[in-house]
Amino acid sequence: MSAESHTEHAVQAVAHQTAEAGAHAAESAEQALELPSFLDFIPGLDMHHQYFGFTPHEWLPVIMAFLVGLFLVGFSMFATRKMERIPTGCQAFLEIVVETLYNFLADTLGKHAGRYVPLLGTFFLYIIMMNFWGLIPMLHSPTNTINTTLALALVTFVVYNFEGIRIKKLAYFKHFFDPLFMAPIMFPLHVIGELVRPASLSIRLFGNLTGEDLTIALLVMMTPFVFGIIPVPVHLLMVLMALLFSTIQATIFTLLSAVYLSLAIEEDDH
Amino acid sequence: MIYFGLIGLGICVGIGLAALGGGAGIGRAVSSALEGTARQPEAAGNLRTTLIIGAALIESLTIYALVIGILLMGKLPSPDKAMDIFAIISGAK
Repeated sequence: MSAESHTEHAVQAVAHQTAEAGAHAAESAEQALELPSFLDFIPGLDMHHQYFGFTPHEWLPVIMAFLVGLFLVGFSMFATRKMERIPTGCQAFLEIVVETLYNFLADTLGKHAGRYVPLLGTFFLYIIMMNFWGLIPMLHSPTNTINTTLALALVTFVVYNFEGIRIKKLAYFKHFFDPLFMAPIMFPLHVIGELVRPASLSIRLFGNLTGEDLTIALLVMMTPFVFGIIPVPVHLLMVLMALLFSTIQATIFTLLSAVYLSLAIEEDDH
Repeated sequence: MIYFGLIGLGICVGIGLAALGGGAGIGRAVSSALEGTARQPEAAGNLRTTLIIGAALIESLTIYALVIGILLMGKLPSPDKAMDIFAIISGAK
């Protein structure tokens, strides 16, 4: 081999190792392949020591979710500090968002829309912001663990059961025993069907986000190098697809919560 | 040895079948949405929304299989550890 191709080979090898080191930096003992976060660059942080009972890797979704909340609150307060009758700039953008959400949910909820749109709108904005958060370098989506998504799904579960019992009192449980003579067979199936709702909501959101993060991390590990030095960011195509699918998943979560809520509070007086 | 092999085979076959079923379902949904749009172009917006929502719901079943696959992948050892285990099994036998 000539001297030039030998050095080119060496440069390419070093460049590949640097790219892989970034992806391997945050790999824990389990098969969690992900890009590094800003916690990996804090000098005094011990990754195996438990701070308040949880390792820094377990604190990461909590910190990220808190940052997302801070960002949403800060942005809203910034946009509405001087509310005007004819909105301009950030206030106009927020008004578009709120009005679109209201119209979107009013189809499903009917006349109870005013009461539940704050909760469901918060779900949508919070989830879509959490999903996008992970596409920023050095940050992770809090929704790529089952903990966050299960918490959100449990909120939906508690809210729609609570509202159903509040409006229909004990007649809410009548749909379990609808054909009374078939009750012993249908009752377990109905209960399982009810319990599977928060499970499916949480696993759908968590699985999608984990798949996206895994694919982005794998593509970062496999970046090709032009002339051995200049990297080609092929993972940006996956980031584009992740933007689309994150939006769709946030919409699906909100829509399904609205549908479950409207099913629980419907009064069949046709 | 068969334990790890079966885990690996199970993951691949599971995800493959889930992708097959998901692809078939979404293909049918998209084909009927296209047909409806071809018949009535002014209903395209409504059809598109229903299509996206339906596709996401069908895809969530494939995602369940992916989650089980990721869960099982955590039970597989790294290649070095697997070589150690096989050496111990065949050496100490």
